[in-house]
Amino acid sequence: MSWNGAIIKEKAREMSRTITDLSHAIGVSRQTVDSWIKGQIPRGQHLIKLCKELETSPSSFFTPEKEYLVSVPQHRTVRRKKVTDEMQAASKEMAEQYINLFRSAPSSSLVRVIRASRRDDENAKRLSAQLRRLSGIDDDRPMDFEHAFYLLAELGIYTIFRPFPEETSKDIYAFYSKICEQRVIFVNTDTNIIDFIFQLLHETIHAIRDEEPDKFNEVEEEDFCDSVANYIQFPDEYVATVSRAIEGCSEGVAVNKLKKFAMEHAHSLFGISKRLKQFDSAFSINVAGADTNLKKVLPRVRDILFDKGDARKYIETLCELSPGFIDLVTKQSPNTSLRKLAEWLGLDNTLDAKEVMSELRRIGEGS
Amino acid sequence: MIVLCDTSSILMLLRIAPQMFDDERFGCVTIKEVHKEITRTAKFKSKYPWTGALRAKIKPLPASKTNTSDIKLYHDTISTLNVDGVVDEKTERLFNLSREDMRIMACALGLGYFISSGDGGIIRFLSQQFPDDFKGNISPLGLINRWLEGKLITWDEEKQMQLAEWNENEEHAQPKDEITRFKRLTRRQYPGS
Repeated sequence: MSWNGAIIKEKAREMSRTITDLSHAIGVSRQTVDSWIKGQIPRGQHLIKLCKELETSPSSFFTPEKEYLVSVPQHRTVRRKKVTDEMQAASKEMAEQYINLFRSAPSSSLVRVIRASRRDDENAKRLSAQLRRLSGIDDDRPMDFEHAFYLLAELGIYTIFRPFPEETSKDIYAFYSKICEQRVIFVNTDTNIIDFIFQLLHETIHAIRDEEPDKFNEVEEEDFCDSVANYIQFPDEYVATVSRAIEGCSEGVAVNKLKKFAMEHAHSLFGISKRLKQFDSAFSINVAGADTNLKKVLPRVRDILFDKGDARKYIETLCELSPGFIDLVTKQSPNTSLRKLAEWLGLDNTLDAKEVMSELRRIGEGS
Repeated sequence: MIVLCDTSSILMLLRIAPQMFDDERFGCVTIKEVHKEITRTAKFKSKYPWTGALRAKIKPLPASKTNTSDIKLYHDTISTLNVDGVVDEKTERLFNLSREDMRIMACALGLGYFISSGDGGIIRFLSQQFPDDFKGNISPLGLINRWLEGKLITWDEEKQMQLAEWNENEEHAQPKDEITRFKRLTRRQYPGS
């Protein structure tokens, strides 16, 4: 945002007030108001008086520097619930907490952007193969944590793990946001790890396609991002292996075998069954109950991050999963209060922000 | 004089004066965001094990008092300035205000209350941006001195030991003039820096 003092003049004119009259009402000299009109940002206490006198909000005197200082194209919810205005506002407010942090981020002029002229199956497969290669995965395994985060780092995307605001905590696993021109994916720490990789990949595709926020609600774009994410997570070869393993099995046996695959590779049964259905339209095993049971035994993201409330382990894990973000936070930490640090990191209440700050200082000092 | 107490001040003072929010003469209030921070942070339970027993003594202001249009305007102004980026004249870096920081500031300004906070960023932001509206910051030791002068508390060995824990817990250093005043009022040494 940037201060636009000319708005004072416009608003005063609309209300048939002179600048001299306005300056008297605010309790400053006419020259002071003139300096605001010319570009000097008033102190908060005068901004409040300006708002009262001109019957407007503080933000009305500022214009966005860029079209989207913070964009939160909130679009995907659990069970495809409608995104409400409250969800959108809460997500935006959360993203805005990071503006000053990302102002200090190195320029992202060389980020990868992938354009697909046709959003069809062939292009989805081609793109997924490219991204799997970029992630360093060299066999047919489903995408795991390690490679997913390597991919994000390679793509220059920052990942932020934190609890989501009440309005969205049960409905959104992850979302993409652009903050000060940086690409950021927020991950809800209450997400189960089996739901996590697909959502992360889906949002990653949005991030690298770099579409305007209004495109995110297009069904075709959503389906395309889903397809690419599905192919990255479950390559055809893996799906074929699973399909062969359950071929001819009774439903109960097939579900158990699917569970075994899911446990081994930390993916959801729902995700693999969707791919199996693509592979063989006759596939009709209901995995909903087994998927729910699986979630009960597998950890949530927070269980991994905040394991035993150990600050050192937490920072080490974050350094592996989100090196770019931790680097930014480490650089800013000497000038940050413990409360703000806890907000940026979305600290679980089992961790002591002071201990986390010490760990960041240790990293900052290179020890 | 009413003082809006931030988390660090409450954790330093509540055991010394558990009635600080009950008895109006103490002039202390707080808000629900601070209450939530104290009661939900598990680490506080181990660092300040007595908080469990005294939790009920922290009584935040009701929503009707903290959701007024004046407070909302202060909050929107602080939030807008924070998003625009305000340079801290002391550190020459941008202020990084949290959601709780902004609520504390807006409530103190909107209600015309003093603040008791160990967070230098909050105090410097208010002094820079709202020099006329901001009543000021009162340190925890400053509050103790006022209570002693008003004969609201009497100083004893137990309180002196609780004060000594500030140093052990690496709490914020207290202003020199308040330390001198404390020594004069209690005829005891101040057990910290």
